[in-house]
Amino acid sequence: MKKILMVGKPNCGKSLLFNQLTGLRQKVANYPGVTVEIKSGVMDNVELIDFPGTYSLNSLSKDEEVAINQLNAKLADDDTSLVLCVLDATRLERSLVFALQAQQLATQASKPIAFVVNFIDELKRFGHSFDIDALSHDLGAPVYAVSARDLDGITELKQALLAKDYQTYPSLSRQTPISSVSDAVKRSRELASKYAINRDVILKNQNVLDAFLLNSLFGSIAFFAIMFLLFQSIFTWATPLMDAVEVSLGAIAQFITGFVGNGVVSDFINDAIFGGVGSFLVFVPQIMVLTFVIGLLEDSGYLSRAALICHKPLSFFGLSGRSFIPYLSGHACAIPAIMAARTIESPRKRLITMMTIPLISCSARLPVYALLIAVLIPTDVYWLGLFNMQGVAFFGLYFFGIVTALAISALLSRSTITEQEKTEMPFIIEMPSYRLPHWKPLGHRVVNSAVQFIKRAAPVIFVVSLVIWVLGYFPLNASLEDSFLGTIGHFIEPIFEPLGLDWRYGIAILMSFLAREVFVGALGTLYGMEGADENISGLAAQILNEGLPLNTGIGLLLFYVVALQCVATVATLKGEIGNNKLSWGLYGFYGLLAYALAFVANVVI
Amino acid sequence: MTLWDLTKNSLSTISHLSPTLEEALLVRLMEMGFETNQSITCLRRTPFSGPIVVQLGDSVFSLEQELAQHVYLATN
Repeated sequence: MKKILMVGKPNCGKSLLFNQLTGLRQKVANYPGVTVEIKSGVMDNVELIDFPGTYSLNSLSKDEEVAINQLNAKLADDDTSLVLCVLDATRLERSLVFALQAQQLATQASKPIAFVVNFIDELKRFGHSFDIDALSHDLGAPVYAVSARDLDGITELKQALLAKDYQTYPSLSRQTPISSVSDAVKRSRELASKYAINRDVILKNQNVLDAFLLNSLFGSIAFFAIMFLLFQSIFTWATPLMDAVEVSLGAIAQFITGFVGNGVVSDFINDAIFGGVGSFLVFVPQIMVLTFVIGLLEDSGYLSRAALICHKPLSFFGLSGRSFIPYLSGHACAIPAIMAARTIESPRKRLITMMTIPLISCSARLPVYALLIAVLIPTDVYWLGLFNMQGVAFFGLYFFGIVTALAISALLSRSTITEQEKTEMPFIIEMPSYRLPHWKPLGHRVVNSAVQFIKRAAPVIFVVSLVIWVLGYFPLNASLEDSFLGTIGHFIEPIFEPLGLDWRYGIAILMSFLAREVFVGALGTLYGMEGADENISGLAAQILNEGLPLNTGIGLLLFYVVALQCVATVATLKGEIGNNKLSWGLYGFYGLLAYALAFVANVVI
Repeated sequence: MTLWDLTKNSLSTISHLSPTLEEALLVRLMEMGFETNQSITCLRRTPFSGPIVVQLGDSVFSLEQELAQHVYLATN
């Protein structure tokens, strides 16, 4: 199949154009360790390949290097029939710098190039037009003016792409190729002075909005309002969807086990398969909602402004302004948060952000905190006679998580972690025009985030939940205490003894390495209680009966703040960082750190 | 005088970029339009020495202090 390669600078509307040309089906290729996503889709009998937007063909980061290497590989492919370079009509000069370099690269590979000038609707709104034929003549290649949003000129573009034999397009030879980057910059300036819209006209609206959204007072209010909405969306709006997933999985499990009757097979299907699958499928709605909201922020142009606002305070800890949203999202769930770290421009800061997100207290820790706080602090104690002490303790745990994350970030930023992040991109970002997001690229991104997560996490989670189920279930008819898992629990009791914890906590902690929230249910079972998940106060009363010393309890809480007890997170880290050792290393490191903290708390307090 | 010294709403002209910057970064800045004799306007300063917002050619960029101090402006 013939291939057309789509290239262009960021924010040129390339994704929407790609979606408008190819329709609903698309394949996404990811490259481990970098944020590069290369999408391909089919337009009639031609394959369209969409490369990530880059400012340049001279790479600064590993991400760009991967994208540019892929582009070069595809350029050498005999099936590649055309390079289609997308330009932003409202940023013609900057777009041309990239376009001229792309033209040079295509010419070197003996491939024809065509240019698409997008956002023509915005030019029309300002009453600006330019001579397309003249620009085409000056560039020595066909130029099409389109609006991907209004579908203006898309049919013509599609027809031309399908019909024309670009190999015979004669004009390439008319142009003297650019000799250097400075040549490209110079020629872009000349061309822009001839064809581009007056920059002050196009930037006026943007600057007016920025005067409000970047204002110290109104800008801060707007920022907090937007972040509050984002937080709400992942916490509140995703919850009904998560419940729906859980309920429907339960129903399906019940339906299937109805056919096999009671026994090992039924328990296996119910607990190992559906329990294991369910434990990570419930995250899917949250991931999709978060991707949607962040996509809205990114496509509207606000994400760059948010990064600007947060940059200074976060840079003290070696993080970028763009680390803020991943950190915030981490309070709901580390998985979508790690995926959200993709928007961080510096590979090094992205890595540090991803490595420290697991320290942010996610919602899976909530039931554990709730249980232990209920055990340790009576409900009617007030701090300064004003604040409920339980609430203060909750806040303290969240705060401790944030502080630890920032402290580890600051430490990591002083050392080199991997080869990948040697070249460092300083903080310089373009403030794109504010635009209304279009549902098509956004929809694709949301679906893709879910697919990617399932592909990555499913195999790991499945194996771990299977192992834990088998250990907890056999020998047949044994109680949890007498199961293999219980035996292991007794065997490893000495490990938890220095923390002041007995074998039951040992087993619950072991089981919660699959996912933290398992802790409450497992401990409930060990205290002879069914359904402890729904009856946290009942379990708390029982633990209180037996007594849990304050120092041990605080130690256990600190353990849960710091330990990376979530296999799905490790799987996601592995996929995003592209480094197996580092991901499991973090799992081990945070586990040891958690143990050390719990030990110190148990001994010192 | 560097770009970092530019006050809000004032206009200046780029004289040169600090040669101590990494080559790849110099090229990138040039592609973004940071070139000798280009006029540049400071649109906004952010509190606590946060990134500066500038208009350069047809684009608006935000850059941090460490980088802005490497962009020298013509004094006149």
